[in-house]
Amino acid sequence: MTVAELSVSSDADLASLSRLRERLNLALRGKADVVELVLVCLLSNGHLLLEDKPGLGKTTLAKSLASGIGGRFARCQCTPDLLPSDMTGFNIFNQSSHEFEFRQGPVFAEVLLVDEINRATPRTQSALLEAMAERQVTVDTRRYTLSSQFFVIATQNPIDQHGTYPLPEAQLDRFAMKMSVGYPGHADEVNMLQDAVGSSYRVTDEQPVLELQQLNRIQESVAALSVASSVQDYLVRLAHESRCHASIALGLSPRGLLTWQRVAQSRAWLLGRNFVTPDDVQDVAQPVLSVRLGLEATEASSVIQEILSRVPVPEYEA
Amino acid sequence: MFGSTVSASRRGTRGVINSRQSARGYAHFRKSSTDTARRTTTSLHGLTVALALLASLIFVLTDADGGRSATSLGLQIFVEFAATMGFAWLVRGRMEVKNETPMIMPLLLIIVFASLLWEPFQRWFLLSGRPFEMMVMHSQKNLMLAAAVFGCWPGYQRLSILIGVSLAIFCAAIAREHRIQWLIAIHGFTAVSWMIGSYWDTLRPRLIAGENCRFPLRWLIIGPSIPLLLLLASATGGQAAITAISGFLPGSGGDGDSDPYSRSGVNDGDNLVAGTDNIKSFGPIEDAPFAEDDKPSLYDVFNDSFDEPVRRIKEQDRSIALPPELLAEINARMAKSEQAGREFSTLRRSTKADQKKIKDLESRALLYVAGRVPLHLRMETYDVFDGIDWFAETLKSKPRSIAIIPTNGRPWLRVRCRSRGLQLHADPETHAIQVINLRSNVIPAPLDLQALHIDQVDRADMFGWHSDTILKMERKSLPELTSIHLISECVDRSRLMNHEELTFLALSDTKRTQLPEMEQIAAVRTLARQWTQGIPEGYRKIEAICQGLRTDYTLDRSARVPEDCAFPVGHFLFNSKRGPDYQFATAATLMLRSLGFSTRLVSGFYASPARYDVRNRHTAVHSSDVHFWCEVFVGAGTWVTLDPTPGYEVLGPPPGIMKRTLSLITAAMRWMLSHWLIVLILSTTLSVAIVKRPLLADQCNSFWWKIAPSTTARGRILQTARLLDDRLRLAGLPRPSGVTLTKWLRQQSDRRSISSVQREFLSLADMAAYGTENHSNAVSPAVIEECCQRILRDLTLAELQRDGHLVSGMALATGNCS
Repeated sequence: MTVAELSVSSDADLASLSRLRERLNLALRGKADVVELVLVCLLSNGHLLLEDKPGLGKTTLAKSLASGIGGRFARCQCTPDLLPSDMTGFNIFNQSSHEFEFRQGPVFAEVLLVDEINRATPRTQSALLEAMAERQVTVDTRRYTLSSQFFVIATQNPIDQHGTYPLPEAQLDRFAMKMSVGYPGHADEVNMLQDAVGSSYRVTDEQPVLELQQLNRIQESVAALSVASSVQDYLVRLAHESRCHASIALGLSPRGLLTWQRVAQSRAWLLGRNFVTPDDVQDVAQPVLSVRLGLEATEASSVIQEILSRVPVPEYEA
Repeated sequence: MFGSTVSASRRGTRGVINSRQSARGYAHFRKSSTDTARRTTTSLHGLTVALALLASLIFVLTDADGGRSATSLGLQIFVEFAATMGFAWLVRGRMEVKNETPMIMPLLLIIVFASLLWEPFQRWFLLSGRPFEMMVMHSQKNLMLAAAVFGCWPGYQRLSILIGVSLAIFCAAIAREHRIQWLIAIHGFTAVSWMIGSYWDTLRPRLIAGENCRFPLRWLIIGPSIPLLLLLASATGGQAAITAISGFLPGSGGDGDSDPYSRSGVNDGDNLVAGTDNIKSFGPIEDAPFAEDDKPSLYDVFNDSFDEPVRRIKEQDRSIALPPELLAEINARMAKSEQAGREFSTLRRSTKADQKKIKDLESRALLYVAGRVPLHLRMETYDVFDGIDWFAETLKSKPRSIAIIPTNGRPWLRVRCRSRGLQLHADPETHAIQVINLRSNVIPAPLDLQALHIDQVDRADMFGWHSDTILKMERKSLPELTSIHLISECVDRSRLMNHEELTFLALSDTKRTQLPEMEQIAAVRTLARQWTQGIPEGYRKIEAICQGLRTDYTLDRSARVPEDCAFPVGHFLFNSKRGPDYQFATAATLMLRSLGFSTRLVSGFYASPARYDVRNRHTAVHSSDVHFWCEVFVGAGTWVTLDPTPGYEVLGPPPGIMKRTLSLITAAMRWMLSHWLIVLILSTTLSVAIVKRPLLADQCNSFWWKIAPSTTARGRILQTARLLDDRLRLAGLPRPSGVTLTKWLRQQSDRRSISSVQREFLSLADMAAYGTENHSNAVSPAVIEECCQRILRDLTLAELQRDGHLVSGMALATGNCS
């Protein structure tokens, strides 16, 4: 056995994922790192918050992902008059059968794009809370289970803050990651323009590259990936450091710590490794921590970098 | 309805319990995380245990003082070592799972009291005991060992070190064996290392990790090296260095207490026997019995040291050499004088018959001097010289008055000073003299004696004048073994040299300017003028004469002039150019007289710095230290001591801190010059080692990597990773603590592409460090070994150093740009 043969992730799974990666890269030009993190988030079974300006491809990305994993896709454009039942679904009286029957809301899809989530009222936002955290909704005291692959991609616009309801900390903690897409590079934009000439609209009805069962299996194997005790100790020390940091009001919660470990596992899996290194922990620190620590977007990056540099990595000792 | 209430209340209770549990869990979490910060590192704990054991070893050896069998000592030391190390290991292991228990403090107290309570038991039942200080120190030693066991908490660790250091200081003060002093030195060295390590340990959590926060290994070594260097300087720098260093250190004394269980000390307690017949020991006792014995007089010492004078028909020679009026006085003096030895002949016969007596005397000191040396102790002054014999000065009809003036409750004999118009003298000097083996009632004292004190002698009529400037006691001989305290003033030569007002007027008394009437005196005068040609009037001329004698003539105590010589000094000056000290002194006296100065010859003892006993802080004066020198009159009632004999120094004012430091440096330089080969080799080796230290360190690391490979495949990879990490640090690319080796190497490789070897090794290293055991076992050891060797060949120190220079160059460039 050589060094290259050490990976645990099966070749078929990795091939499927690389196809998904290619598709997402086609949908979102020149943003391989964002796509990579989206995949990490997907495999770790967490939800994603995209914070960026309009027109940067957030919706495109979400739709491509949904089509790629062969699940249902639903989208929800949030406005202040959006009601919780518009999200979860509602009981309607059937005139013919004289019974109330349940109409499923968008949360019953595999991939839910919640556009401009901060424009919804807190009431509607909190209806999402149960769906995201427990993958179930309760309507009129009846509980409905959601898909186990339920994946929320929420977007919010950082520019226009008039008439918005900023997400509470509890809601933010339900997201695994937060990141921004950013403008594509010069060459990528030229390419994009060239592709747009001649085609009236983007082809959306593509065949899925990853079956839901396969995704489910991958997510299970990610969760089973081994994490050395030294790395777990490192994670705890990082969390402790975030709680001690002067410019952080709310340190990392134990739930956040669990999410961080899962996200690091999923990154290790994607790299074909069957163990987590401190590098995995560090590479996902920015998106995982920036959603949680209640930091201003301008200072988040430097504060997280400072936390990472303050905690020594585990030594190479037996 | 009831059911719902019950279930609700149950749910409520459970809710409370849950929240409590979570709160407790959270508190525990917080507590354990702060405890991690408060605990000390294993290495520091280990160092503490080692220091405690070393201090304990020192104390046990000091306590035994050679009085116990090696077996019982070895057994005790072994038991202490085993118990301390075993318990420390146990506590360290348990600490990982449990926190500080409140029982440690009572346990320590029990240990202290048990050690103290053992003593009465030992005294009553085992009929042996320890002195009080040993008893206390014994309990402290046990406390120290126990505190070292619990050294994983910083408080106990510091307690242990503190007691250890005080034990070592205590033992340094009382230990008599040399090996213990070595152990104490090692303990001191290690303790300084601990101090630096401990400081670093408290500092480290407060440092920003991005900064370069390596363990300050170099200070761990340099710190203790400074006191070690000082010690080395005092050990090899000779007398000058010791004197210079000891000036910075405090001293100690004893008190009058005694204890039946005491080991030893200044006061011998009940064991002290009044030595009336034969006192073998020497101690600074003020009230020793005044014993009489066969002691040599100054005259005997002269004869022992310089052989007997040649007796000649004096009348005939003297009539030639001396003017008639002086001759008459000398004859009168001789007739009056009943004391032998008040004249000194420069013409002496070589007799080697009775050497035994000299040796016998050599082994015993005539007197001891405490205080600064070199010191010229005057016993006799001579003024008239007839070409061969010197005649001692006699007492004038009206000597200076002396009176007892009590100062601080002690009777001090004050000698009234002559009025001196010149500010030439430095601060008063204090000396103590103890006569051991000399029969004389003349008090050996330096020039310009101001005051004198002998304990309990409070009557001025006990003292009298031997000559104009020399005191004596009105008894047959000085009290033996009694300290005579002297206060005198010494002339500051630098002031003398620069004094404009000095006239150097000769005294009207012709006896001190008189030259013998001989033909060769003209030659002497010519030589003196020749030596002082072009030198301005004043003290510089005197210095020139002394310097001439010191440089051109050789001291030879056994050289004798022919017995038929009419003018021995002439023979010394112009023919042999070598002779004993009295010839030097006589020559200087005559030459200065020929230039018009008033001079006199002085005999007495020279307390030599070479005989200074550092341990007892005094200088022994033996019979071979009998010495001749001269004094010159510089005007305004002031005489100055001159010593023209090579190798003899005159006491100057005490050196200041600058001068002391300078003398230390001089001593060090002199030592280095005398051992130039060793110094050259050492310094070359050292500088090469310093310049090439990364290379050396890397070679050592690689060598160790080669000869001591880890047994497991995983261990081997980690070993290689550590070596690589060290190599990066040595190359000036130290990995920040918050970055993994993988990431760091990739960042460094941004400037060049990362090779497949590196990629392969890094994945192996990650696997070994963070993967499970099964993962590393999956790869064959041969592959691992080859990969490790290839990475070390691929990333050599030289290549990394090139990168390091590149990085610093880029940093410099960006710094300049910004």
